[in-house]
Amino acid sequence: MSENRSHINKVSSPYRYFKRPSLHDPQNSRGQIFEKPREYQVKGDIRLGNIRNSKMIFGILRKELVRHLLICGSSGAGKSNFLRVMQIELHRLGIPFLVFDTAKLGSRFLKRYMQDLIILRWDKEFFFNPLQPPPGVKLKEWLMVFSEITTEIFGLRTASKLYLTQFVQTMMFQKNDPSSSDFPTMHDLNRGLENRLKERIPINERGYLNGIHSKIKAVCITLEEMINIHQGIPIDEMLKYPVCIELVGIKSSEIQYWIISLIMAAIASYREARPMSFGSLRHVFFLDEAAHLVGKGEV
Amino acid sequence: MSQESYIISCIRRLREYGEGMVLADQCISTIKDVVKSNVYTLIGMSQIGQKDRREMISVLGLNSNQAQMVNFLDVGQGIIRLGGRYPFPQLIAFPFVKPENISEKKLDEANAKDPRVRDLLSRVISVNVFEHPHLKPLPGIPQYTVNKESESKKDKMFEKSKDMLLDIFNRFDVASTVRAKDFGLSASAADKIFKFIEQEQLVDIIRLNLTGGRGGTSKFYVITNPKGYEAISKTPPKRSGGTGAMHFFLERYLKKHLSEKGFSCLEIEKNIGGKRIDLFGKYNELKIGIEICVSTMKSEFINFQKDQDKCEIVIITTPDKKTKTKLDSELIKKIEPNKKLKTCVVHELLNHPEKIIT
Repeated sequence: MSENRSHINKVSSPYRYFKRPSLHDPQNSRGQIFEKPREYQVKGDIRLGNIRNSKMIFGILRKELVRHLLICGSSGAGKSNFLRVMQIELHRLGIPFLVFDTAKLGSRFLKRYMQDLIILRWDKEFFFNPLQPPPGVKLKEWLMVFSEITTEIFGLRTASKLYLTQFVQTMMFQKNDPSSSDFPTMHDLNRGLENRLKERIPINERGYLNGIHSKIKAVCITLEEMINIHQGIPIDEMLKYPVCIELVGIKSSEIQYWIISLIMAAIASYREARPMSFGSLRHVFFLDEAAHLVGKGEV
Repeated sequence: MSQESYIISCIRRLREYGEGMVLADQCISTIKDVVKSNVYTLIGMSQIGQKDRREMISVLGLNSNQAQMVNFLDVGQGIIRLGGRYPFPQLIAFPFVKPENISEKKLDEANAKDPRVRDLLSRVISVNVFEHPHLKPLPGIPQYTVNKESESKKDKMFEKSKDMLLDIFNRFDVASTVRAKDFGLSASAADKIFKFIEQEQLVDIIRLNLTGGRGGTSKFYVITNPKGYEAISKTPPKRSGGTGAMHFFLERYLKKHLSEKGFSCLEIEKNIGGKRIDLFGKYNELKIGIEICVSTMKSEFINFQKDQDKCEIVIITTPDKKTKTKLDSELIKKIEPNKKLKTCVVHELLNHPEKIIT
């Protein structure tokens, strides 16, 4: 197989490869197992790959991608390669996207094909304040989303959610200058919880706050400067470009997926505060290892 | 009762706002059923676990022959099935994208040069005041510098326009040509000042024909922007109801000029029984409610329905004739002809209120 693929080193674009599939085809010896479609049935803007035993290219329409895509395959089956193909196709069509790299630095390799891909590393260029509401979203609404996600991802109890919401809201509305756009940071929240736990409080509350504090402290210790900011990189601006956020190096997958889900919720809240698109594709969100967020066992 | 997680509800809602999602995972059996059933495009690649294979066969709707293929899928091959356009499974070979690593150093350089990254980073407000290495001036790349000469010119212009702004604040109902004459300015000198305050967004421009004559529209200026009030060190008035500059201007203009035409007790945004009326006044002991309609033609009938109990006559006034005809056609659809309801253009109300009321 490596012999067949040796020519790839020379080509500058992966699209040329569409024309010359050279993979082993198990279908030849087994007859027509899959029905042969007409070209118009499988033609689409976003080209995915070659239909076996045919010169046709299978593509999906933009409006079909709005209704989401799921790909499953064991490790080494070519999932990451497929995601890269999708990213190149979206880039060709000028559709911005957001990718999270949690383990393999896979999307960074695409810089060769897309010079304008923005790569933000969590310890260098990516700054995010989870307590800052996205543009156009009410502060109270966002704080509820923040508490919901934090408790969901960290597996805290429902009562913890109520305590966290209450605590964050009081902290927000008690700040010295309410008109200022400098939002408290996660480190402020950590300090606030520490101070609260030093006070004499009911044992029930202490138990729940202890649980929240342990998670928030872990987040602060792990992410340090990334979340020690009043205002982070604006979500609305990020949605205009092809962006890859590298979270490689954050060893805790819990914290990685906490960031990812908060960003996803921020995008959803930001979009909700604006008019609907009625089916037209504006932006694409890539989520690898999706079972962390939409799996049966997790969350 | 099973509760939907917030993330799943997010994915569901994102579709409505044009946000596509590409989800990837190793095992198809670990993904929640609600996600699998709501995804339009499904791709299955080789699966090793028996449970995953069975799940893949059922989700992709493979027949017995196709199901056997699942065991033979090669690297880079997958079975795809769309939700509606072509709902039959299809075997596909994906193109291979050769990965090429990029070093940390090269990435640092690329990010430092990228104006978009610099722009994103410049918006970050950090607790520890620090300068991000990417935001340092780049050697060889021309940096944006403030032109001192143009800056001082701007200051001078700002000083000149201050008096004009104060005049606009005090005499909002004067057209720009009359204002220039009052200041004793030549047409070009006045034009420069007007252009400057327009460019700096210190004022809003309103073009209206308030005389009803054939001379066309006159240009009025109104300060609605906090920036404008800041420039003349005044506090902006409390605003409620219609938020547009035109609405704001017309409320005040009508209040000032209708008192000369026999109206009394004129009050802006008067609250009667919980409903605010744009302008309320009395004309020959008749309680009159005036609603200003700039762009909300379709919902204006609601205003009338609410106002009709509180006023004897409700006048809906529009800035121009075109808006009035639109308004009339919308009102006909929703309300039966009513003696209490009058519609007119602003200049008609200003020139002959008696004709409209009687």
